[in-house]
Amino acid sequence: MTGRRTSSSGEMPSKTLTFTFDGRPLHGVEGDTLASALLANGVGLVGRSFKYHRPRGILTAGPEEPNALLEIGEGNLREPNTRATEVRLYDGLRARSQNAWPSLRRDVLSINDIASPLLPAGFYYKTFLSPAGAWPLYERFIRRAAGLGRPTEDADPSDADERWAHCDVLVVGGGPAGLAAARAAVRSGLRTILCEQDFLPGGTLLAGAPPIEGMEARAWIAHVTRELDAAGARTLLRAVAFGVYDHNLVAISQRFVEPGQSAADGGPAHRLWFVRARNIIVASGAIERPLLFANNDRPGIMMSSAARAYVLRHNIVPGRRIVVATNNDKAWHDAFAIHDRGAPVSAIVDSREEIVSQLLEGARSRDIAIHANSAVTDTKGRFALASLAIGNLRDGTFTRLAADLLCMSGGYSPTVHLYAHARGKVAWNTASSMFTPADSGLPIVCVGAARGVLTLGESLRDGHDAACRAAAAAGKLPPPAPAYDVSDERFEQNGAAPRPTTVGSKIFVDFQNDVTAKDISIAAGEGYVSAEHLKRYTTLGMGTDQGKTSGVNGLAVLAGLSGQSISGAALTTFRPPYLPVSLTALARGMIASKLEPVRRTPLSKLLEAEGAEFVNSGLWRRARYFRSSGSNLHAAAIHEAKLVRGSVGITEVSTLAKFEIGGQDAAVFLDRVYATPVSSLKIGRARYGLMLRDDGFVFDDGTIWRLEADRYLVTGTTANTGAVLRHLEFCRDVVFPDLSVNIVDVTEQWAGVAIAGPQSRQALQMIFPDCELSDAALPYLGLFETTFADRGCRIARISFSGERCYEVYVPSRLGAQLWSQLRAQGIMPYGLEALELLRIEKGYPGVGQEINGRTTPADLGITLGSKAKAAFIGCAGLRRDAFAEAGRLQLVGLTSEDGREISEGAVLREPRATGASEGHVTSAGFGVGVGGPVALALLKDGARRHGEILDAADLLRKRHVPVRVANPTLFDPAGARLRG
Amino acid sequence: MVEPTKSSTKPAVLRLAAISCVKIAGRPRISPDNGPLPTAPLHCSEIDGFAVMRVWPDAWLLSSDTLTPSILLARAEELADRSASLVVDVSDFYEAFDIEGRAARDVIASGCAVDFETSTPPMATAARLSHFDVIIIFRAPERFRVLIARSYADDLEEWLIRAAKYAHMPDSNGATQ
Repeated sequence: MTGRRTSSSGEMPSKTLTFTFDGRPLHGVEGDTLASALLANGVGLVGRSFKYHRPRGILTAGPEEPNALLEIGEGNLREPNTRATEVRLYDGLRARSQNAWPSLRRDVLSINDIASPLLPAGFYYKTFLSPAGAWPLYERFIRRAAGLGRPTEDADPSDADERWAHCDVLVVGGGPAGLAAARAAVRSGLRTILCEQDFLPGGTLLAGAPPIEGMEARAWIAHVTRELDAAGARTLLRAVAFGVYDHNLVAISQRFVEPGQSAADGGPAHRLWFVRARNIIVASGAIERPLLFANNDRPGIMMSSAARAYVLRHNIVPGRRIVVATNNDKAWHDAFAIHDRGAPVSAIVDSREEIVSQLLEGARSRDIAIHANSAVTDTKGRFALASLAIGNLRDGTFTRLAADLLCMSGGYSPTVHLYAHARGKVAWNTASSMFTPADSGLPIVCVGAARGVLTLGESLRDGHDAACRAAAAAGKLPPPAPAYDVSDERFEQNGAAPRPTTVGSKIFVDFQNDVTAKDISIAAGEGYVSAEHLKRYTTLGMGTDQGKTSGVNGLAVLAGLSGQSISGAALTTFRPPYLPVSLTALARGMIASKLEPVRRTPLSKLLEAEGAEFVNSGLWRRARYFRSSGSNLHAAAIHEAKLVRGSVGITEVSTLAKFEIGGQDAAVFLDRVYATPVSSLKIGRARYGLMLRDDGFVFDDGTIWRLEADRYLVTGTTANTGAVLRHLEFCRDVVFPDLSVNIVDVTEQWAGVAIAGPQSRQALQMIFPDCELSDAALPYLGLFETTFADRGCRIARISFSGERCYEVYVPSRLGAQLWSQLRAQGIMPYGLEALELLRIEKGYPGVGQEINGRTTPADLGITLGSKAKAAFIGCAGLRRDAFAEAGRLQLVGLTSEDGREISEGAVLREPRATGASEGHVTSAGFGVGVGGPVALALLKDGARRHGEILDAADLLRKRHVPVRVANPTLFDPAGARLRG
Repeated sequence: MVEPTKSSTKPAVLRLAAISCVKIAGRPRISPDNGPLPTAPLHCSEIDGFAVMRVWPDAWLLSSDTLTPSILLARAEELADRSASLVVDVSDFYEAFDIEGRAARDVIASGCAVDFETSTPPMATAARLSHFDVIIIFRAPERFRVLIARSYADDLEEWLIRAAKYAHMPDSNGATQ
């Protein structure tokens, strides 16, 4: 390749930029892409292909590029597999080639090209079959060779944010049709967003175009964008609309910095837009199709439109002996345009027999040789194109031409991906040889080349008209059409879908995944005749380019093999993302500690200052134990539990679910929702509440407080707060809509502190000296309301530890004050771990452990008393025969026979037995009241097996502990400490 | 009563020290006279020093920067149909953030799908802001208030400060030609 800059455009940018490629310092200019800068420096070899490690050059000038996948940046900013055609050149850019070792020119695995007959499509699956024993040997080599690019293992320091936007019209694509559409939309008074993936608007206009409305193309682009800005339209550049979702939601990924760059001023590197548009106008253009001939993948072979872009937009002449091969008129105009800019075209090869006379005259006037009814059949040149063979389709003769740049064009395929995301249908248009969008009545339309309209004037009018239709539908007055009478290049017809011009093994259809026409033939021969099967068997279209340059060609080859027309074929399903999206962009800053919100209790900061060690309990951050209690979790928990059993301790209970239920039918409602009786509850009293599912299994447990005649407070498990609220609201709205009852979530309104232990009453009295706290005034399960710091306060005598205990609830803002006053009395804190030890030896079931979604009240040893015959949610489920059968897992307590710790999760079996278990340990710890290791377990027919000795087998750690089965209430079974 | 903690970003994110809030849970009366509580969804209006908002189909939220919780509760009980509703002080349930400035809407748009551009203030809505469930009060073109359950407030503050930092950045990297 022999690239150089031209000096003829009059628009040479002034700033020179320095970059490196494989360590070699090179120069480019402001406005270059990395691809154009490489070409300007004569760099034609940019990588090695995925499977065969063939030398590859730059094929296109856009995001459909399959070959020029480079690694950009270093360290934690390194981004592999980046298309050089999409990267805007910046000073200091570092680029490296991929998939070659030790160097691009001397790549060890280029031997794969020689061994290619052994590596056709499907070879990988066949290695599993025969000889099967050799697979481990193959695997080692295949794994080392597989993959493309080196991801960094360091965390990406870049940040990304998110933005929601709404508009009447979203125009995707800032080329001629898109700009015309956006302008018509703003002139109609519609809220408009224009989204363009390039860093400049203009699309194909940037590669030379006739004057529009009397202005040179670039001047027209600037004129329109100024009008859009003045009208308040949003123009997003470097923004890729990568998916269309339900109800016209479009996801757009925008870059603020190039790969390998860090964001300036600590801003985001990416922004993920979610745009809800009333109308979407897809002006995403069309992708040029490669021609199919042997060795059509050499460096120095590129698409005709790409050559035009490099010459006219970037002022680069990428070759000295240029040949254009085509099957359509457009490439002739490309040839003339680049020739007139100083890129010498020596010949045009066209497979058609009949060619428009103006084109023939144009070529002759430029001394360009014409090879009509001919096609390129083969090329030569290892690291750069050297020559090509041309076959005459009429007489079968061959000519060889020297060339260092071959510009090929097999026609165009509209970029219909986004339209397809929205369930828009596409169909093969035989007249224009392309898949075009069918009218589907959706609020998303394609315009311009994306609809198969390939001439400039028609594209401009198409975009304008689409926006006018959107305006009319919105009741707005569409603007008059500007004078889009562009004397554009005539594009008589699109090229027919290419077919291979020769028979051979190196006719590449999918460049990125090295899929050849022969691979498609093998697949078809083995029965993979649908597009979806072809894709998955050959990997055609499965690279990061998603088959943008190979999809239609692959279908055409397949159709040809079966003797059918491509019109009967269906494209594979297009799914988002249209182009690769950075994971950093998708994360939008929600990574590591920001992945989920952290819920902090009202006392969090205070407890942290007091040396609490926290644990994540769902989203909540709760105090597990206090460092002052012991050197480790185990020691601290035992110390704190002993404190509670021996004197008094305090713990935060703010996170418990709390709901106020009020209304004239509140009691009836709660009676129906809970399995425990409510309507008999007196004002100023609380009761244990058991909530079942419809199937009779226990759902949640908590307490029910009667505050006033028609007003209750119910509490539940922290982890079930959301589920219980949903259940209560569902019961109110759907199950019992006739009841007059209201529900208010007050979980976060109240900070709660439990004061537990034999001296808890004295501790409470210190804080509430004027309150009557005798057992007569406040018996177990009694409650009353008072004030604290001039705000309402609720105190209930409820216990989850088995000790005398008072739960005090104050408004959340006062929680720290309450806690501090208690601590000022010298009362020590205890955490979740100690609470766990206390409840285990009291046999209180825990949600997620004993209440596990498969236990009924009877399984847990809870009798329903007067509710046994009443109607409540779950009552019908409880009457199922299976619940009365023998063999149910029932709650039991366990003590360790030899003093060793019992493992949570251990299976219970007869001593020295193996095989099926009789049950399992659900909770375990050190019982400070019992004075040894204790546990709760679910055991078959457990209620009848008290006194038995079983083996608690921890199969993971291979520990066997003899345990004695007992009543779950291992400590203070009479509850004297609780009630006394 | 309100003592904001001001951070130094543009637009301003202010965490309020305390506001009073009361929830009236109940459905609107179906009668010719619906009483003083508004029935239109998203409604937000000021009455005598407190705001009345209809952000749920079965409840209203009253809030005030100046009235104490007990006074607001008393006012709410005057407004509510006591036979069919439940009036509860939720002043400590929520924390409030004010976002003010030219790019205030962009801060909200950094995580909320609601279209405030076509909305007329004052209005209030329950919404999702990034991964937080919040109430957003659109008070004026450049003034928003966000209410959130207090356990999430620290995280939300961090999120708002970051969003405010990025909100004033231009939509594109500036390249037009």
